[in-house]
Amino acid sequence: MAAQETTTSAVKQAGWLRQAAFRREEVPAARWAEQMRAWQDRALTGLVEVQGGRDPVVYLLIEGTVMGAYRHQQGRFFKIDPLPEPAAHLAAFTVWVAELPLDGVRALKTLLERNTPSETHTLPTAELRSLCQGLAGQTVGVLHVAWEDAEGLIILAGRPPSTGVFVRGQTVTNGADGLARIYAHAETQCRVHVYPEVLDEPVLSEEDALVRLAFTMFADAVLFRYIELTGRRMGNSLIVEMNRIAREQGWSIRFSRNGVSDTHAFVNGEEARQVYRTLLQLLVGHISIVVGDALAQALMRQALDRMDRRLQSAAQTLVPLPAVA
Amino acid sequence: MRTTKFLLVLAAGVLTLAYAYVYEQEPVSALWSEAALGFIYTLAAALAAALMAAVSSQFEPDEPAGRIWRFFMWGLWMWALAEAVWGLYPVVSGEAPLVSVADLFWVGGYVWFAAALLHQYRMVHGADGGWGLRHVALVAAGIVALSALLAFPLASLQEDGEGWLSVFLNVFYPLGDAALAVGAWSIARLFRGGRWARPWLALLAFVVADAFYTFLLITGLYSFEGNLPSLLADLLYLDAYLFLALVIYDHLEMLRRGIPLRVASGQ
Repeated sequence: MAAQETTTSAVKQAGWLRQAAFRREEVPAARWAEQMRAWQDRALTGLVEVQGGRDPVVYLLIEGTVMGAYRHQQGRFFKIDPLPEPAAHLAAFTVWVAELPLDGVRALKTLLERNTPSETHTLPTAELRSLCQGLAGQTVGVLHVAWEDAEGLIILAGRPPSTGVFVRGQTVTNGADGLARIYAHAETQCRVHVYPEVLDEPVLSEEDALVRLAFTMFADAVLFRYIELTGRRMGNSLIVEMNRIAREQGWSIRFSRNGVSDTHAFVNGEEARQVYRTLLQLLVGHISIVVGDALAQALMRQALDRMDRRLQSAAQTLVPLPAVA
Repeated sequence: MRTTKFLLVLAAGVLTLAYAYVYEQEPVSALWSEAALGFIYTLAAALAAALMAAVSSQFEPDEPAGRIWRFFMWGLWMWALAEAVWGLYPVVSGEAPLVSVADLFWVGGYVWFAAALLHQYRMVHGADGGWGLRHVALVAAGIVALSALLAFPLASLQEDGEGWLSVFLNVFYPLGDAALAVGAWSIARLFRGGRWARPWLALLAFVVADAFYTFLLITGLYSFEGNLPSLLADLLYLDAYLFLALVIYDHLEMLRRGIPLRVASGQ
């Protein structure tokens, strides 16, 4: 199978993050697992695009945890489930890495799953704020704002946005500052592409989306550390048991050594929280039997400490730990 | 699993009774009775080592967690070899010397146990957390230095002309045991309440056995010709191996079968 020769990433070719600085690396296939562990250890948040096989694959990572994988075929991205590893028969991969803030990764998730915008507006940058506020009440999704030399990502979640991600070369500005830079960018004209949240997934409020993300990240981090301490065999037994319980209860939540994936359509956020708490209680309860309560608590603390503050707060609604100082 | 466990417990009981019987009754000549006692010890030590080999085989070669149990296994094999060598002496030369090749294996065992303890500690605390190879080496050097320091005056007090090296080892072993006890206890405390603590706690059985033996030696109550306190000391040591073997077996079964999860009603 001939490898693709490309000089840029598929994400850029799709028109996203054209202004972002990607780092290109050549990773031998034999060192892929080591490279993934290095990203986990660095708590990388961003995207990793792997080229070398027939089709590029884009991984979205949040603090070293793979949150999604997407294959690029015939000009579109397709979500891949379960979370794969690149083809083992290849000698090496070309890897494009772009570090992004959390909101950037969340926005990119919608772009990759939606692929094409539902609407596009060309307007003066000065009118961008009122457009965002107008769309906020009617759209849940992502606005991709594009200029010649910069771009912005704004997440709409049912109310006027208060944060955004501004990208210009090596500079990525996040949060309220990011949104301010988007609204105040010097170029007079901009193009705004609207990507609604993918409809076959539940439409979640900002808070519920954070709780879901916090659950998958927290569970994965605790599981990862447990496997480090006790070995893959113990980890696999726990994973098999967790998946058995989830299956028996009818929850579309899957645990694996590559991450935790939650595709369950909950009725509401409260139901999701109940399920997450149950699963985490089982997970931590099992770990306590093996390594003791004190070390199980320490693993949870380590997992929380690695998380973004908003995700920490969301995770702490699920696990009974003292608040982080 | 229950059958195997039952058989192991039965074997432990049989070996203990067999040891006591041979010790007390000397059913064959003194030389062969002593060889039989040595063989029982070797069997018990080898059983623990073999079970730990099975534990370490549950880990892939590149797994850092597996290294802990491989080091533990090598420590046990070292001690099994020491028991075997010690047990052969009566057959080969009629009497075991005060210092022998067996001591090399005893001491070697401590080195492997120390490596296992250090590796386990670093798995929990990370490579940068507190204790490292340097600290362990310092402790080891301290024990050797203290043993050497004490051996000189003690050796000069020996009426039977026991050599310096023999006295050194008699001082070294309790100190080594104490260090092993502190290490094992510290690791067990990291996992307190958890099943992962059990193999480390089981190591403490040797410390208890060695402490009792040392007490008997110091008080002159230990007799190589045989008496009840000496038999108890020997049985404590034998049963330390057997107890450790049973604990390792439980650890092995946990690795092989995992622990089933149950959702409580109402969840």
